[in-house]
Amino acid sequence: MNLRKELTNFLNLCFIFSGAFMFWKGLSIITNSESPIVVVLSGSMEPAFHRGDVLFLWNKNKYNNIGDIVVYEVEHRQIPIVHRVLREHKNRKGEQFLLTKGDNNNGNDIPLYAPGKKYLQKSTDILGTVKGFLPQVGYVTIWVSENKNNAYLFYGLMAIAALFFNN
Amino acid sequence: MFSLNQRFQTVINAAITYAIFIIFLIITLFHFQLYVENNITETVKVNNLNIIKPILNLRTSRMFGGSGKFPKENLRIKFDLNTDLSPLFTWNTKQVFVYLTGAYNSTSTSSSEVTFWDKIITDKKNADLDLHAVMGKYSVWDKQNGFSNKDLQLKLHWNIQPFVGNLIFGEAVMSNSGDILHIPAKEQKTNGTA
Amino acid sequence: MSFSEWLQELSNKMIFPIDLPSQKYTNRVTHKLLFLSSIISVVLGIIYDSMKTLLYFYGASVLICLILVVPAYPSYNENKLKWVERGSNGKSNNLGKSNIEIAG
Repeated sequence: MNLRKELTNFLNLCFIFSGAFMFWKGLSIITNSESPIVVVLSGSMEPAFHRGDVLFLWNKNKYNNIGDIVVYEVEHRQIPIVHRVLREHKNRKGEQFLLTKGDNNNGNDIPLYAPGKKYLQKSTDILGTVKGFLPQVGYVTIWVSENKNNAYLFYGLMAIAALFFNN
Repeated sequence: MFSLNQRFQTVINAAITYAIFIIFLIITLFHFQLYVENNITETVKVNNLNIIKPILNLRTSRMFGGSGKFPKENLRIKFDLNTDLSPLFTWNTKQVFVYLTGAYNSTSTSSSEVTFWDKIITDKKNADLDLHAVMGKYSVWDKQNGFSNKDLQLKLHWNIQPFVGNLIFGEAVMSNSGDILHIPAKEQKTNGTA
Repeated sequence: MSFSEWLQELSNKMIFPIDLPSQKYTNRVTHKLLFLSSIISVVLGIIYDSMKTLLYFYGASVLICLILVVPAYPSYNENKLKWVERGSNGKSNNLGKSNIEIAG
């Protein structure tokens, strides 16, 4: 039992977590998006995006072009949605309104929006525009987050690895 | 490299590093193939785009932009299209999304653009499109008014989804000057069922 | 024996050390093999026009690399450093200490 060694290990763990947090927040500032990297959860954009694909977002653009794939959030729904811009309208005040649709869905997204809402507003509703794509790498997060046992297994393995291989 | 754990971690780290190297190599070659070898900014052309007729309807359903008291003017188009999109297919192309749009009300500050038709192409064999008298997929309404007496600038956009890398967007070159569609004034005919 | 001591002992048994020349050798093998296979896999991917070929080839070479490098094969322990044995007299003991200092 060596208290100093154990404290050092704990400190190293703290460094890793704070480093990851700093990286995430730094990326957030650069891209101007709340969550610059997202994992696809639904199949509504198949065959372009499948469950578990990782998307890189950018949100410094003032307007979206037609055909852009955007990530937006709806009030009272936790999970952001990744869909394609079907129509865009810019008015004289400089606001842009978007109508979206999933490639794999039959109809547009109006039923998904908040009640009474017919368009998304670029400045307030859009989390980011998809710029880059990495396939299937995010499946681990789905695997962990969708089943309690998997989550315990995952964190247990992490803990064992941390105990053994701390040098 | 002294202990088992160190050796394992070194190999995994090296594998990830070289995987990132591979991804950059793929993206570079992908762009080279598209822009230098296939020269997609010039070779992807619309050989023929012919709007057979624009169809205007009044719709009252919320799903078509209307509301009970205020019906909305909906526009659909029927068209012929001939274009070859095969230069967009490389070994890193997962799918090409092609969409026909109309831009209107363009001023220096405001503008609108709507999609009439789109298609997902996943195979190079199906990339040479030759469509006759196809009905547009979408019944389109404007956010403010209708489409009567408006000029629509028609565009054929494409979007490449790669297996890995960045999404690429572009516009097919229009070969004839018939890419402006004038919508005649609305006929006095309402579609009651909507 | 407390839990942490038991853990310490277990992790000491899990080290599987190899000698210095082999450490250099495995490091070189890892980087050369993976670098070459990354380039070959891209070339194969282009030739066969398929991402799957690339993925399988690279995955296979990573697996081969793991098999080559990770286990402590007997041949990786042929050139172990010879430490001076702790002798019965003080002389050799001193010699051993100075050796360690030079090595460090």
